[in-house]
Amino acid sequence: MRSFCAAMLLGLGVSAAASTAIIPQPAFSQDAIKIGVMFPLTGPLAGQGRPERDAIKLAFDEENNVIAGRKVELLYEDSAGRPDTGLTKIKALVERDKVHLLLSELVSSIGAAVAPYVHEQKMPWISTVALASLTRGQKSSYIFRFVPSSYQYTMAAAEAAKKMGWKKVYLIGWNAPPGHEALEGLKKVFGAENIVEAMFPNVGTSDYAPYVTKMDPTKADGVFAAMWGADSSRIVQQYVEYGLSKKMPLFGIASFTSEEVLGAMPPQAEGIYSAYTYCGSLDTPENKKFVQAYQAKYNALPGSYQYMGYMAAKMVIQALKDINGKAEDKQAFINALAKVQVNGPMGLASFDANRGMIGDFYTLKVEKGADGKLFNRCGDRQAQVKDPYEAFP
Amino acid sequence: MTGTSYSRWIGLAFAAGLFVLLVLPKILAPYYLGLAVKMMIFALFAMSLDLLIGFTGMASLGHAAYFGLSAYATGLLALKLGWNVWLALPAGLIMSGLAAVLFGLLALRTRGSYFLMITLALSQLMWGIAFGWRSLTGGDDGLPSVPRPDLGIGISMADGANFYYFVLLIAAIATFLMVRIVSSPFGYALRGIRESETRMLALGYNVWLYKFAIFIIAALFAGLAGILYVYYNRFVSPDYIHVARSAEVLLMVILGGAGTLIGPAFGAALIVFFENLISAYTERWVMLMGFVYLIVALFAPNGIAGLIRDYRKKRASS
Repeated sequence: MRSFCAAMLLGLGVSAAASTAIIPQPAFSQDAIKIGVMFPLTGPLAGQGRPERDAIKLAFDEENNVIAGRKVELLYEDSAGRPDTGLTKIKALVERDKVHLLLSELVSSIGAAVAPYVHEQKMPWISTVALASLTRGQKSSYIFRFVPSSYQYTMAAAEAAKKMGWKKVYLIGWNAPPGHEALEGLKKVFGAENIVEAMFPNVGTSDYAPYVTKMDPTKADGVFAAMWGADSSRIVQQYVEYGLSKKMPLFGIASFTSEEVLGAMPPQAEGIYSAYTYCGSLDTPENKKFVQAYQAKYNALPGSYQYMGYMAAKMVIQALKDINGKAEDKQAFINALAKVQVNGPMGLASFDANRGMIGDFYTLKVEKGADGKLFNRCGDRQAQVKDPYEAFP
Repeated sequence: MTGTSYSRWIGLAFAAGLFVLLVLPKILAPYYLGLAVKMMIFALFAMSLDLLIGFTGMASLGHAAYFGLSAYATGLLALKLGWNVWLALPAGLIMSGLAAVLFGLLALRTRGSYFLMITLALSQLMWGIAFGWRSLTGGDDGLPSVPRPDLGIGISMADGANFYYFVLLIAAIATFLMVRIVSSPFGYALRGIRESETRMLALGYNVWLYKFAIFIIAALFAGLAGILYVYYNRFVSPDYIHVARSAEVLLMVILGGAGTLIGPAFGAALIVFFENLISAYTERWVMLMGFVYLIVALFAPNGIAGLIRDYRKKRASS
């Protein structure tokens, strides 16, 4: 019994001490601007996290990793898509690596877990977490959100569909915050009585037949879908199989038809609409440059996640230039970042008073290109869409 | 090795371990001290599962249910009702204890892989509730901004070192209790059940009652770990209850060596170490972890603690 206690204490002590002794601290030059870049690099969300991290790297490579004469070092961490792991890693970046700012994360549960800590540490944090509460209840002058919030992109999609003449609608969305918030947004635009039915399958549902068969084309003008990643291509597959795509248009909210899922959609996915801040085929010199540079480096078409990462990095770079690279002065940095305006691949982008993203939205329509592959055609533009704070305080 | 020199060695190791743990806040940077706290919490969690797997032979794949339930209970009470640690901690323990009573009545009707399945199902049920009941649990996003424990005696737990000592004290008491439990007649009866249930029945033991008791005890210790974890992270999310966490703690136990207590504690420290320190150098850390499992499975089927024990036996006999 004593030996148990002794061995236990020794084990705990040694292992804790070992954590500092075995692994040497990474050495960094004194003058570099250090930026913490944490994304899910393993686990189910790695498919979004890795490309976004790559796009951030691309943006800094374009500056040769030097801003205002100072070298920039990106420190990578893997949140594994888990909130507790993410928080520990953020602490590592802040307390161990002493980064000057964080350009991290896209998972909303990690965003919620990290926000109070980042605020306490007065650490500038630019995230691409679509969590609405980050710029509402949990808002902090140190927390910036370079991605539309769930209310923002739902309202944009709903307005676009309304302009096309939709009056009565179905909603199928994830049984998770963005899905439920989509319903609130649709209610505001169409009125609660015009939502024929709202369905909330769980994230990762493999069979949508029970939902799809409930949709009656005689009762509504169209269907909104608020689900992403592998789920969006799965529901499109079944929507097409049940012949609904010919009778009632499908309108994806946010990155529903983003380039990385488009490849997995059936050819009949042609005609699906969506509305978002990124449209891969937009014909501007900035976008062409972005698409070509990303493709040359990573041999894949960039989608909305890459765009968010790339643009968030561009905003940070501009703000750092504005303060002459003095990243130590955090107050000056956040003041500069709040004022930054960058003309990027999708036009002008900036932050609002609550540090939420403002940018142009496009109505996207899936079409078949000359090479037989599906692509997003960029339609109507909604200029400078802001988070609807008044509608959802 | 003679008895006296052995016990002297033990005494030295005990003093050295205690000394290292006590001075750790003086030598470690705040971030590493935080990791040490995380290691202690998971060591406690893994040891609690070892009571079931290693000592009683009941492989549970739903142990995170108790970890998460008490974390939610404590987190909610601290956050919404402003309860301090003296109230919220026992309330959290009661929560996981009650759940264990209920689930034990169901799960203990089965054994072996069926027991594994039903514990898995019950914990996923809890995960579903935490995930789905958004108005109470915050759904997927969980409950952020849980305050650090307030002892009401003027010691600030926002200070890393103070919180470290708080966790160390609780973990030490819990470890002491667990060691007492497994080295008591009750503990030896559990080992008997692990080896042969029918023989224990024949000897007149109420096997079911023993299993029920240890099921609840293990849940209480897991719950304690969960409470410490919610105070450490200052948030709780459905991830605490997810099957991935149950599997992770199961791996900690197997890696370290089931049925030894020290082994799972060491396994927990090792996994936390990999997850947080190796991953800064390579995103292939999961693969490295896989190699470690592979090596342990091939060369140390009884875990790291088992390997050391076998080595000592060999030396003693030669």
